[in-house]
Amino acid sequence: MSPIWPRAARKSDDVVIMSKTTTPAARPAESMEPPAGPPKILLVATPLALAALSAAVVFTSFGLGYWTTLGPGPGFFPFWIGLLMGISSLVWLLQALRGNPNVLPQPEEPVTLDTDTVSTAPTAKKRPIWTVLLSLVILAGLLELIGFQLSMFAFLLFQLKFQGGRKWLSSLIIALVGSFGVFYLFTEVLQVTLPTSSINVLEDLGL
Amino acid sequence: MDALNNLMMGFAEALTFQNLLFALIGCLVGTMLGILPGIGATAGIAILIPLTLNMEPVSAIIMLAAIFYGTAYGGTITSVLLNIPGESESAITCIDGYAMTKKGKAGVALTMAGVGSFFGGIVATIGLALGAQALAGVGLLIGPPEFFALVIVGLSLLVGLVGRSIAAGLISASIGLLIAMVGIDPVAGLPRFTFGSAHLFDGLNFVPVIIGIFGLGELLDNLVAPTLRPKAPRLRDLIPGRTDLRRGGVAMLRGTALGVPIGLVPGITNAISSLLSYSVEKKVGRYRHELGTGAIEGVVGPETANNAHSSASLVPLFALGIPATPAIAVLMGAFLQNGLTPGPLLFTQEPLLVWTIIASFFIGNIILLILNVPLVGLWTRVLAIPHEVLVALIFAFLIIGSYSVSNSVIDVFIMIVFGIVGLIFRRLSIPLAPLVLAVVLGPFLESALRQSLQLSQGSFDIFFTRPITLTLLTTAALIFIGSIAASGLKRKALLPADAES
Repeated sequence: MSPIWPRAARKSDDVVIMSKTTTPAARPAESMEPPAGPPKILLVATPLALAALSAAVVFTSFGLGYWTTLGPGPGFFPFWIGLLMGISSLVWLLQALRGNPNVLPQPEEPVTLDTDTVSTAPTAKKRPIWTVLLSLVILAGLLELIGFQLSMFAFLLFQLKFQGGRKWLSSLIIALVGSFGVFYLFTEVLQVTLPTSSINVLEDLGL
Repeated sequence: MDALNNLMMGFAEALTFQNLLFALIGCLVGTMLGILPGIGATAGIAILIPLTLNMEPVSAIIMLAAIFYGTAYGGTITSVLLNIPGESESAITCIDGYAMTKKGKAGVALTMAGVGSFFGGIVATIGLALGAQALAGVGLLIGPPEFFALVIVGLSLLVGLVGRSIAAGLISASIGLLIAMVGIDPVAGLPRFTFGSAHLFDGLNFVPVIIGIFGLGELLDNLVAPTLRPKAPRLRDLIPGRTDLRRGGVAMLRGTALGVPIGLVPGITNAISSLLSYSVEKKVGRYRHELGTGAIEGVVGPETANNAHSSASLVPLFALGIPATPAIAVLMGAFLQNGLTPGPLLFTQEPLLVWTIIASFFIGNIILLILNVPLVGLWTRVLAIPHEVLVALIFAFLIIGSYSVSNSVIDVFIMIVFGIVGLIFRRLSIPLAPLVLAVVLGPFLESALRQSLQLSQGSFDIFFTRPITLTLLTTAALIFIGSIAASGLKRKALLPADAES
């Protein structure tokens, strides 16, 4: 893939604190892939969405009342904040379109680590963000339906076995501890309420 | 002496079994968060706030504060042993710390960093004990216009110093202020941006927002990471030699002298102190030519400055009610959730509570020194937990923390939404620090502004006729103009955008 903005390509001479320099003595064994730069659409869509949001805020603020007899009304602060956000978003959009290096995220240099101090689970390489988000949303949706213990158990099992590539036995044990064990710890020991099932049959079982 | 008497009173209370236990738990959690890359003090404190709501406020704050200053210790371990900073403020320690590990001097580096952190933390806490109450006296004289101006200075420092784009910093701050505005308006009682939802009448609770942005956002950004297996140094190797002590001691003094005053300024994060300390060592250190190849000064200086900064940055919170960094903003949120408003009034209203918390800082630093130096082997074992297991369990805690702050699934969904926001922010290098400060301070900022204008019957002159306010606002303007000019002159890549987590 060719760089979207040519100027972004030669940014590696910048001091990026988070990246490491590799001394020749270190065995360059395992390179972590640098995170791919953000898609161009994100760089343009985000400021546009923010500009739209600020326009909505400014218009809403008119309805709230900008000034009262006592001084600034409820709409005063939202109006100015909305304006500030709108202007900043547009400046940012302009800078992004012109390829201003201060706006474009810099690719981090790949980090090289010794193999004897790190290890990566071979099956854990691919974990698309959307599957994680989807599983979290499903979990949140199920919390009050089937209760914390069952939904968290299923979630953890999914994360460990199918996303993390762990063996069945260890996945089951960790998922049990993380759901039923944590529920006991929080509700009995720490006195924190966690959701239980709203289905009678399950609720009677203490779930 | 008054402060000393009060402090003794505080010690008596802080040394009760219960408070000691919570200080220990806080130190353990803090060190762990400092060590584990991916989750820092800001998210950690936010997750634990709901669990403290059933506790006595003083124990809750002791524990959460210990998490805050504990992370500054823990970050060193991975920097030195693995060349991976657990926290961004320990990033600079990697250079000489890891070089020392390669020379087989990891133990000495860790010990001296621990001792330096302890020294810096204790000196800054003594400063807090001596200075905070006096400063709180000044704080009482501060009216709404001054408070407003002070917050503006803090925010403009954050916007100007962290991240590379001023526009991105302003976006971050204004989103934070918008989040803070959701709910019933503080003056007229009108619901704003609630979309008719009763859940939002009390406002967007900052706990799920912070957990989402700092916890989930960071996890989503780094879903795949290797499991780390560092080798712990042997106990015998931890003992520093005479030269190490002498050279480290000098760096310790310099680091403290830097970290304490810088920490007092709201809006400057720890990473800046440790970076400055390193560059000072490079300019004036007697062994500056050795820096980069495993010089003890390169480890001790930044780590001492970092911890001195952490403890000193609590002064503006106690004296003025203004949090200096995102983690302290969340800590301030913890005070508020426990029904306490940090600031000058707290010294007169709740003296025992304040002094107990200050006394607990001394105790916490001692606990941390023990945890981080002789017990370092324990933490290298924590690091060996496979990454996928760690991530799965952190997910569980993110859910629990956001649910239990008001026992509502809506907050879990809010957390997920802000997790996506946090991910986008990270991918686009938008700094997160201004947002957090704005979320917590937003209501205070708005009240201060509106109270000021009510005082002056709507005239903006009030911000220009009061000398302190005018000075502060001019400072803010200068910082702002200065950073715009600077970003044009040179490419400011001094700090990573997440220098605040």
